[in-house]
Amino acid sequence: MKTRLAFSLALASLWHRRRVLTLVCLTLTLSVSLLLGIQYLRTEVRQSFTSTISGTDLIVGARSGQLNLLLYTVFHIGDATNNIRWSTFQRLQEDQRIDWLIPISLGDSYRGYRVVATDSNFPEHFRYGQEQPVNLAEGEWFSDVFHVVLGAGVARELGHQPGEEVILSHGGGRTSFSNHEDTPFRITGILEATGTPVDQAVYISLEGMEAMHVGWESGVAIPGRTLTPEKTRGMTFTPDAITAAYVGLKSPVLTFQLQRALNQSAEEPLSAILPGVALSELWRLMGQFEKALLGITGFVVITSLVGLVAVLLTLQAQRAHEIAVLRATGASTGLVASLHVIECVALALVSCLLALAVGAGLLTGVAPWLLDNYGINLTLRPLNPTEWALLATVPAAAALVGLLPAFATWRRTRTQGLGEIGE
Amino acid sequence: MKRFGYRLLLLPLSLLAGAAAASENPGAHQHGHAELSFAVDGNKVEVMFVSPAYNVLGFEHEVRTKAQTRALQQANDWFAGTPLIDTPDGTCTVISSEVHHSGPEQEQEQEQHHEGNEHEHEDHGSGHSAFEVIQTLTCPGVQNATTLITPLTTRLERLEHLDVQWAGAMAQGATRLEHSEQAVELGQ
Repeated sequence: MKTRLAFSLALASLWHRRRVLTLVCLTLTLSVSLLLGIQYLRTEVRQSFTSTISGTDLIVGARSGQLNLLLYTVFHIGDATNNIRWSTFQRLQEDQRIDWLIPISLGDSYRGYRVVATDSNFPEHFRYGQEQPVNLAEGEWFSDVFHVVLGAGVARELGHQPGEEVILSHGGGRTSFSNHEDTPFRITGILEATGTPVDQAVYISLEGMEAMHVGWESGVAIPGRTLTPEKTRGMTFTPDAITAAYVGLKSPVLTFQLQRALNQSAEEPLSAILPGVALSELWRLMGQFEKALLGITGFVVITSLVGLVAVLLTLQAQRAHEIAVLRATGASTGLVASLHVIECVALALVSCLLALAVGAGLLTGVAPWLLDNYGINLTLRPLNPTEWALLATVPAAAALVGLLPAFATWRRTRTQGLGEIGE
Repeated sequence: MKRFGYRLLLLPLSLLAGAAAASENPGAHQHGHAELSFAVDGNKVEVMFVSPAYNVLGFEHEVRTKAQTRALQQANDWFAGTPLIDTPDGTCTVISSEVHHSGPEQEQEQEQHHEGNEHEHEDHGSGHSAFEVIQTLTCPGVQNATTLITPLTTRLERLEHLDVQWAGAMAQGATRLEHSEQAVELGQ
């Protein structure tokens, strides 16, 4: 009965001062939204990063650091220090421990998007996320030397459709004056959006990469020596070198054994990295930033709670009359003090609920924009236990800070000589 | 702007990505630091542990006293019989174990067999020695485990941090354990 009375009194009191407290509640809502949003983004961006590649046991490239190799082969950031010989790739193809290999050859671009030369093993074996294959949204994979398949982001940004012709550029960079104008590529397919760097690349065959570089020397086309699509009919093209290869093993147990063998290769200096391990290292480095961000957000919430206490303490002076009436009608000091704690917790709970609604609304609105602009795939999902725990700390902290005005009120009512009977 | 989303986030890291050592270079040797790798396939686990001998024995010179001989023997016995990675229920058993201790003591030993060949070993004159342990384990239930335990960080007093990496059907990953941290969370 007493508890019910305390709740009804606290709610009535909150309603009475709703104008001031609405602002406090809004501040707290924004702080909690920020805290929850940062934690949510932390989890989702990590998931998005670690889902960039899956099912690939090793990535083999020229001798380099594991992050460098991961960044230029998977994220298309930076450039390869060296290539690996085609003969080395062929030797890997004969290795009994290896199940499949996806060759990757980089170096050219299309309006700033990376051109990735590969073979039919890419659509067959490359996986991302939870072992999801790369599917075509439209058209088909390349079956000719001058066929090209576009990532979803490239097609969307540049508004391309299957059947159109594109001119690829020599080298990286967004603007290039060296274009492979004699060898236009025809778009045969557009990939489904994956939310990974796959969306931001253009895929051609290894033969296509070789063919468009015939007659090029030192990055310049020698007039009359380049090929045209007609001239390439019946010709075969074998690369001298590739940038890297994705490796799938027959058994994961062989991973470290093969990695060691490749890293100690006497024929050619190679680096074999475990993409999952490299991603973990990458996240470990980035994790420091996101932890700092979460810490700052925590302080924002604490500041809001301090603001809440300041408001409640300020309002105490205005509540002298209300408290006197309560005491005169028989309310105990404990009951009067508990009103502050209940009010704090109620405000925090309302803020948490509002923060959840704001977060869900923002995420629904922002997720497509994030996918389009940053390739980060965020989905609306139930909160995980960590996020629930983080959310629960807000009313818990509010209850704690509510003890301050509660104690002040309890002390004041006692010194006013309105203590309970028998005290 | 759009295509550079990942690039913006990761650009600073590309600057941190250093070059690896060439195959001809001697391996890094850092006291207090060791590496543990394991690969899981069904119930079978292949483990490789590489550590400077200092972390294990407290010295890297050749064995000089009976106490040092005993310490080396105890270390060899422990590596031969203790699973270096285990399930929380302790279901792992060692099927096979190879313990290699390379360093001054072995050089001296082998020099006696190969007299006159002064350039037989890479580590000649470096004064460093290292342990390399390769184990094959059988671990019922390991494929469903989300946490595994290593006894290395509590057993080896001088080990300050242990870099752990794993591969398996479940995923690949890596973590760093500090001294006395035993749990390897496979989900991270």
